[in-house]
Amino acid sequence: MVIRIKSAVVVALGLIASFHLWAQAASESQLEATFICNSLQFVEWPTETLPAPDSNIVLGILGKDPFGTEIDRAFQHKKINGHSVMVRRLKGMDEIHSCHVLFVSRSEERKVREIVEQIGDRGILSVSDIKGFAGRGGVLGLTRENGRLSFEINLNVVKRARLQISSKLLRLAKIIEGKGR
Amino acid sequence: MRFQNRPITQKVTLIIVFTSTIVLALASGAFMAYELLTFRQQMTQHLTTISRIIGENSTGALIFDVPADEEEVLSALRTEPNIVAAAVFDQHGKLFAQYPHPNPALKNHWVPERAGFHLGNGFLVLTQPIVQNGALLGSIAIKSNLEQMYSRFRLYSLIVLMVFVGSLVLAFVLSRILQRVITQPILDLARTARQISEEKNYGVRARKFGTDELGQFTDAFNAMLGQIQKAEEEIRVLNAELEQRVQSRTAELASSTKEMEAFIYSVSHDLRAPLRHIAAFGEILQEDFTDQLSPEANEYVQRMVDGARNMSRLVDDLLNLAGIGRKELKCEPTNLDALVDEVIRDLEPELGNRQIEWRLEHLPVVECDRGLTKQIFANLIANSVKYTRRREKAVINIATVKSIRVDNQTAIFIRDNGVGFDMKFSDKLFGVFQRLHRAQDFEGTGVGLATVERIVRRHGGHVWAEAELNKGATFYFTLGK
Repeated sequence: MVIRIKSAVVVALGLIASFHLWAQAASESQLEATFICNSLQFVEWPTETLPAPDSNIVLGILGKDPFGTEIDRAFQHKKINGHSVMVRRLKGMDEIHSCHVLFVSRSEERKVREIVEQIGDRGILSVSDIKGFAGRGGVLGLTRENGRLSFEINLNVVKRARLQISSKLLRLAKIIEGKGR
Repeated sequence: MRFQNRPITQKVTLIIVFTSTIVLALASGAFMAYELLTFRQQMTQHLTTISRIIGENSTGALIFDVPADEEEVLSALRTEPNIVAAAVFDQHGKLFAQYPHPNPALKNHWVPERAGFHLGNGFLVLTQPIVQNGALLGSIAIKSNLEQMYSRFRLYSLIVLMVFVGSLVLAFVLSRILQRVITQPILDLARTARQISEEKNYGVRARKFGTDELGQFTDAFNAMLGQIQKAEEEIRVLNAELEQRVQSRTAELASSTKEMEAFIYSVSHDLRAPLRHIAAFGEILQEDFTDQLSPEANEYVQRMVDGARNMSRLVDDLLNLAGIGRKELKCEPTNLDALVDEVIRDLEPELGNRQIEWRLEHLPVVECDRGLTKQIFANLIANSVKYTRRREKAVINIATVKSIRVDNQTAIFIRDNGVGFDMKFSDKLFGVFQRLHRAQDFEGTGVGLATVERIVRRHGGHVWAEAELNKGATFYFTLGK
């Protein structure tokens, strides 16, 4: 009888713990979604990629989608500087070119270099929570600092992509100057 | 002192200074008011600008919830000495960050207010919303002390005051110098006028300064002086002519008077001889032929003799009168009391048993011609005696009195209580042959008073009379000084 109760408790604890982890994971992606959403306000794309004021910003998710419906919800009624945002889950790297914002999922960690080369100098805001993403040629890298969500920005890549990022955002970011070509 | 009575230099200076004061006060007031207004505007503008800029820069910190960054942004306010505190609130109104760094000693309670300016406790607080992309991110409140405004206002007031005082002093000094332009000609003219009126020298002319109204006045003034001069000259000429005319008339008068006197004298003398004949023969008739003549004839003879005697007396009196004008005055100190006593004694035979009360007062000793003065008394006293004949008791008063008629000098008077006369005819009194009474009532030649008048006049004195009908008469006279 005692052993049964003990194991029940262990199982229960285990369930609670994993749920907690799952909840944490879920809230983290929510945070990231909000974060990305907020950041986009401070970004301006070159006129070739975003010609008209009513053109759409395309946000592509490359790799395993960690957000689920959260990111769709974040951008549902929001307009970034007057542009509506369309969220697309990409099936392959060749779809990269159609995006304005490219979220690289952690599942693609080993392909980062390839992805960066594929992006090239196009005005695409690449964002990811892969460790050292900005240092490896990405524009915006999401990091954890003191338990808080923070970010790095690679200025050289920004310059090459001809993206304009407001100083208001830059101020809050850790500036990385790496991987210039 | 009334403004009107102040000297011209003061008036002009006062007017200028007064005007300057008012003008300066108005100008200063206007400028200060303008400064106040624009400064307040400037301040609010400045505050608004700062809060906008800071608000703009705070969007990142608010969106990404980084209060530390916000504090850094707010710390830029350090450069603004008049901004004492600032606070940023999130969209829920919760305090997000503040400046300066929260000091537990300082109580800086921040309560989010409505947007706009709030004035209180000597501080100005501006609250503004922070908006991005149409979304309200939060609000910013900036607190500024008004010290700058006050100190600036104080400084400005000081400057204005100094300029005001300085300008006034300058106005005063300038006016003292410049008022001469106006007042000098006026003062000069006034001085010339005073000088002319004091010295009575109408040959002086006033100096002309310029051709303005004062210059015109000076011209008119000088013209007037010229006219006065001319008039003076005319008067002088006329006076000279007049003098001449008077002199010649006087000479004519003197000569005619002399002729008249000579005439009277010779006529009187020539009249006397026949009169003596008439009287003499009449007396012979009375003495030797009374019984040969009828009583009627005797009466006629008597009448004839009386008439001749009367005429003789008249001729004598006339001769006397004429003589007075030609004789030399022998003036010596004369005791008038003694003179009066003599005259009364001389009259005694005629007084008979008349009741006469003589009221005699002490008369002074006077420098005059004894003989002629005795005639005055003789005539006047005789008159008094004559005209009091009808009274039971005659009262004759001889004394002195101070009379206004002769500038309060002493005059001698003889007063009686006789028949008097009507003052209406007083001016005829001293004329020759003027009689105010009928010959039947009172005899007389009518020459007595004329004689008195002539004698008094020769002494340089005055004679006049006062009387009332049936009450009496008073005759006054002076003998010169």
